Amino acid sequence: MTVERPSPDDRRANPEELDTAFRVLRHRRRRLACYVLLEHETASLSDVADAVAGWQYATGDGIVEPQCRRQCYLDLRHTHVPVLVDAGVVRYDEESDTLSLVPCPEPIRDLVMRACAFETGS
Amino acid sequence: MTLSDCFDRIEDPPRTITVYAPPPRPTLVERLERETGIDAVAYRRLPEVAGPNQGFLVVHEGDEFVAAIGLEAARQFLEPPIREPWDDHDDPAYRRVIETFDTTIWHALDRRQLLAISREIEALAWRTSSGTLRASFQRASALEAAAPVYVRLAGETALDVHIYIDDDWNRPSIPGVTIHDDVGGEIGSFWALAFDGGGDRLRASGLLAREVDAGTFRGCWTNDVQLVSRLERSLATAGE
Repeated sequence: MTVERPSPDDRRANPEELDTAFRVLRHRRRRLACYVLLEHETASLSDVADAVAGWQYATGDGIVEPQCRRQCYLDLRHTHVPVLVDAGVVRYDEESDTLSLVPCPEPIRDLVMRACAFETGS
Repeated sequence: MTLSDCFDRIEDPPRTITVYAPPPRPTLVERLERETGIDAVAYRRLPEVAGPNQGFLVVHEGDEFVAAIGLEAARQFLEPPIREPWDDHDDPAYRRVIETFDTTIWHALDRRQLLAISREIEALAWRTSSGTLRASFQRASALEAAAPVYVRLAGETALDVHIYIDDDWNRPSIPGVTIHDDVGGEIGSFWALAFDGGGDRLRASGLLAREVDAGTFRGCWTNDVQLVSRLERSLATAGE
């Protein structure tokens, strides 16, 4: 029995996709939102905002106040999520107010995972 | 109003805690479930590639975000350092964790946690330097251990300090401190402290915990001025 492996072409991102991915992932909040979504098939925008604010400012002995989290939520809602959606990295379901990485091409998802390891790994 | 009445009337707000961390699920989740008395403690994974120091927890009250706290700050809160009230060391993270859980009833507080929170209230009274501070002690030996703190609190501020103990106090009196001894009743089963804020309502602060098992207390701390005022009345009544 032969196991079907993806051909090198399937695993390779096309240059345009990579250009887009590097452009959208250049902002830390967008990266953190994607890192959160790696673990959760869908998550509400509110939960992602909690996690992004917490991850950015509260790890270790930090504290995030409501005002900081609110700013993070507004930045995601009005700036970062639309950029991620336009780039085809994230899907936003307006009705359920949820985000997901479902449309993200596999090579870009892999890039997000590697960035997460580089940025937040021990 | 007795201390039990005061305790029974505390309404803790509907808070939830979500702990975010890479796997494995931190043991802190179980501790929070067991000790906080908050029913809704959830764990959400961060990617496995994230470092073990990347965790944090998020506290909500209903739908409202209250705070996100680093797991290191949360762990330090559960095993706090004990400082003197006049210690200049400022620990905003620890104080903010205390504020975050204001009026949350914890199911299992140990003496160290209660002492650390008591020291925060005493430090507030020390900085305010006026007003009334009331504290209960289960035994005369416990007051004896804390006496140096109260000597200085009463001696170097204009605080009116009242102490309530279950036992007889047959040691020397503490200058500036009114000791109500042999109070009996419930004092022996509670750990209580109340500071009226010295005229500033925002500084009113109290702690009330009932011993449910040897060394394990159920209780809360609060900045709610009405609750502090009820607690003060309960202590004053007990001492009459």
